[in-house]
Amino acid sequence: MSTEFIKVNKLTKCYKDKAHWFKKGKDVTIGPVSFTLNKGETIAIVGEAGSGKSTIARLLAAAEDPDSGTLTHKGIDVDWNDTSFFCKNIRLIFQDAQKSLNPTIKIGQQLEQPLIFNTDLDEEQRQDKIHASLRMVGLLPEHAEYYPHMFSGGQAQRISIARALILDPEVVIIDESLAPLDPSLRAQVINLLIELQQQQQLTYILISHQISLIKYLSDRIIIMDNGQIVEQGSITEVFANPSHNKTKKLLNSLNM
Amino acid sequence: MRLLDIRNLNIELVTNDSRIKAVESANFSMKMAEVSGLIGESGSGKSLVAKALVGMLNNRWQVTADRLHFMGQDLNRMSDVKRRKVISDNISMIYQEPRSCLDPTTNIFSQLEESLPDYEFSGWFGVRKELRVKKCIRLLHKVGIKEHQKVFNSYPHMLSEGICQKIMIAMAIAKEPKLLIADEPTTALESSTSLQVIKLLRSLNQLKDMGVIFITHDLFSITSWADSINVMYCGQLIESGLTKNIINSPKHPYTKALFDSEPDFNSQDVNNKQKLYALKGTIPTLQHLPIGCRLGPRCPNAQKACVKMPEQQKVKGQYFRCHYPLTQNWKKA
Amino acid sequence: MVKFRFFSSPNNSSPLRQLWRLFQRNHFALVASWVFIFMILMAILGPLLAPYSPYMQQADMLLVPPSWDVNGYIQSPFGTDALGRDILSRILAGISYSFGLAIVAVALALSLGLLIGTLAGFSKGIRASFLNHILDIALTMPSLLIAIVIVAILGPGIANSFWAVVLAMLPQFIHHIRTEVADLLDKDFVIAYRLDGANNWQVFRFALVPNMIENIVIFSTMAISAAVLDIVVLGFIGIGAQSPEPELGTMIADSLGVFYLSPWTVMLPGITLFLCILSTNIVGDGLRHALKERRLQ
Repeated sequence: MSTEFIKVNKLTKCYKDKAHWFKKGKDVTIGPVSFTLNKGETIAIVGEAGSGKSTIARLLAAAEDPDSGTLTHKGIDVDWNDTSFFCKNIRLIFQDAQKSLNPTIKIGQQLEQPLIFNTDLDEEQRQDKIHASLRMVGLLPEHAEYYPHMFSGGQAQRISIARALILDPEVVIIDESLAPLDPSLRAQVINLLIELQQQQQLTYILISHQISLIKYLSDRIIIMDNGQIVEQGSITEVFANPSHNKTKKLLNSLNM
Repeated sequence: MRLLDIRNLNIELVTNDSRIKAVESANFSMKMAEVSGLIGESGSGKSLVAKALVGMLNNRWQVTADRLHFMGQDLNRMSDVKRRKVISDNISMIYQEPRSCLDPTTNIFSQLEESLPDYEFSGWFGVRKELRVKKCIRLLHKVGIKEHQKVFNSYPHMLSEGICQKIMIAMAIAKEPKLLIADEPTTALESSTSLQVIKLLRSLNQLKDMGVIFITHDLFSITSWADSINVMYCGQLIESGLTKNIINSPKHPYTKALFDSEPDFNSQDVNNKQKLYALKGTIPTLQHLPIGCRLGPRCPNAQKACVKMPEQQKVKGQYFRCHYPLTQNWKKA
Repeated sequence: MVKFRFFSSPNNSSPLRQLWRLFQRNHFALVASWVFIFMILMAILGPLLAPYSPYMQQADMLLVPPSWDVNGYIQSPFGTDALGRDILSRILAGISYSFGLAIVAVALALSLGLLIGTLAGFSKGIRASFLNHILDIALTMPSLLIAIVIVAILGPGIANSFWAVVLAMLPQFIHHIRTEVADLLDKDFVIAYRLDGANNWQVFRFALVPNMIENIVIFSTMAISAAVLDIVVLGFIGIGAQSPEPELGTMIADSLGVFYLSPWTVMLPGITLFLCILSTNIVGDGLRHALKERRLQ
C-alpha cells in the first residue's frame, strides 16, 4: 500500500558559476522542482551531467540549503535548518564508498557517531544497534574493530549502507553509488537493497544514468534537463510513450 | 595473417617478498579488422594485458610469452627500438578518464598537432603548418566534433568528458593504426555519450579496417557489436569465443553468472524487482588466490576435482577452462 | 630488516601505527629520533644535572682544555671558557635556552595557528578573505629578517627574541593549517559527518584533527629546526640573548676571539647545535618518507 508522505514543492537553487564553454552559462538555476514520494517505492531521477540531479539529492539530504521551496512531511512543513529531521529521516549514500569513510577511525566508532549525535541511547544499546546493522548488511560484528583501509570496495559500500540505515530512516538517497561497482558486486548490493526495502518499507531515491538499472529497480521516474523536470511518471507509462526529446534520447541508449 | 597472436602470456609482479602472478597463461588471438571484447571485473588483469602489449609496464613487471606475434612479426625477438617503432606506428590506446589523460596546461590544438605523424607532410615551412591544421580539422570532423575552432582554443578542463574522449580517439587514429585498444573508454561517461563513442568506434572499425580491443566490465555495451568475446577472471582467460556462441551457450559458470547479474538480459519485464542471480563471496586478491580453479570457492558447481587447475579445452570454436562446463543451451529469453 | 615474511596478512593497525612502523624501518631516522628525545630530556633536566652554575666564574681555571686532553681536569669534562665558566654546565643550560625555547615557541605558534587557521578554514566570504590574507604579507619575507626587525623594535634579550621567533613563524602556520582545513572540508567523509548531524566542533574533533595531525607534525619539525637556527643566529649577531646568558649562539660569538687558542670553546657548543638540528631534520625527513610509503600501500 503506498501512501504519499513526502511532498517537495517548488525547490530552487541558484549557482553563480563562471562562464565556461559547454556549461550552462553564467547563472545555473535548478528548479522550481516539485514531486511527491510514496512509502516503499523507488523513484529514479535521471538526467545528463549538469541537469541538476545531484543538486536535488544534496538539497533533499540537507547538505545544502535551497533558495526557496518547501518540503512537507506527512502534512507538516519542515524547516530546512532542522538538521535532526534530515539526519533521522533522509539519508544519503555516497558515490565513492572508500572516500566517504574517515580513514583514521575504526568503523565501529564511525557507525556509533550518528547514534551519539542524534539519539539518547546508552552504551550497550548503541553496541547492539551497531551489531544489528552490520549483520543486516552481511558483515560480522567483529568488523567493527577494523579500519576502513582493510575493506574492499564492495564491503566499503556495505558499510556505507549500514551507516545510512543505522538511524532507521524512511528515505534513502542513492547518489550514483552503484555505478563504479563491478557487475557481480553490483548484483549483490542490488539484492541487499531490494531485501531491505521489502523488510523495512524504505523509499529509495535512485540517481543514476544507467537506464537498464533504473528500468529494473524503480517504480517511478523523473527526467531532468537543464535544472527542470521535463517528464515524470510511472516507469511503464514513460517508457511506453516518451513525450520529451530527452526521454527518447535516453531510451535509445537502451537499444544498441 | 592474424592481427594478433599471443600464446601463454604470463605477467608477474616482482616484489621484495614474492612474485605475484597477475596474468597466467593467457592465449589471445585476433583476426584483421575484428572487434574483440575483453570482459573482466577489477583484479582480473585485463588492463595489464593491454598495457603489456603496448609495452607500458615498468621494470617491476615481468612479461613472458611463448608467442607474441603482431601482424606476423614476432615482438619478442625484436630489439627495443624496433619494437617501439612497430607498436607506435600500428597500435593506439585510449583510456578511461579522458579529461585527466589530456595535458591540462596546453590547448587542444597543440596536443592534436603533436600526435600527427611527421612523414606525411612535405613542402615548405609555411605549407606544412597549413597541412597540419587541415589534417587536425579533418580528424575532429571524423570523430563528430563540428565546431573545431572553439575546441582548438580550449583547455581540457573546459570540455565535457564525452568531447574529451572523442578528442582522444581523434589523436589515436591520427596515425591510422591497425589496432585500437580501448581501455574502459565508456565507464566514466553517461549513457548517451557512451553510445556515441561506441558508434564512433564501430564506424571506424568498419570504414577503416581497424581492429578494436574493447576492454570493459559492462557486458551490455559490447555484446551487440563485438565479433568475439574473451572473459577474464583473476588473471586467467576463462572463456573465449564468438559472441553469438557465448551469448547462447556459455560454458563457464562465471560467464553465465555475469550474464545473469545484468538486469536487462534476463527478461523484458519492466520493474521486475526480483533478486538478481549473484555469485556469493568476493573476488580474491592477488596475494590470496585459491589453489586450482580460481572460481572454486564461489562456484555453485564446484566439486572435488576443482582443486586442480583446469586445462583449456576447445569445443566448437569456444575455448574455456572448467572441469564441469555447462552443457545445456541457455537461450536468451 | 625482515627478509622472510612467512605470512603477509593485512594488518589491522590504525594509520598512525602504520606510520610509526614504517618510520622504524628506517634506521637512520630511528637513531635520530633517539638523539632528538635525548636533547629534549637534556633541555628539561639539563640545568638540574649541571655540575656547576653556568654563571660561576673561576678565576684560576681559565681556558682549561676538556678532560680528554692531557692538560684537562675531570672536574670540568668539557673544559672552561675565557672567564673560567664550566662549558658542560653552560652547554646543558644552552640546550634548554636554544632548543627548549625553540620547541616552546613552535608549540605556541602551533596553538595560535590552529585557532586562527581553523576559524579561517571554516569561514566563507569576506571574513574568509580577511583572515586568510591578513598575515600572508609576512610570508614574503624570510623569518630571520622578520625576527631581526621585531627584536630591533623591542630591544635585545632572550625573551624578546623568543617572541620575535613566535611572531615570525605564526603566518606560516596559519597558512598551512588553513589550507589543510579547507582541503579536508571538501572531502566526502566530512560531508558525511555533517549529514550525520555533527556540529562544527564535533567535525573538528573527529574528522579534521586525526587527519591533519601527521602533516602538522611534519611541518612542526621543519619549523623547530628553523626556530633553533633563528634563536641561535640572533644570539650570534648579538641582538638575542646577551652574555653572560648561556645561549649557544652567544657562547660561540663570545669565544670566537680565543678560537685559535682554545678551539673547544667554539666547537663543543657548535657540535651540540649541529646534533640538535640534524636530529630534528632527519626525524622530519623520516616521517615524510614514511607518510609517502604509507600512501603507496
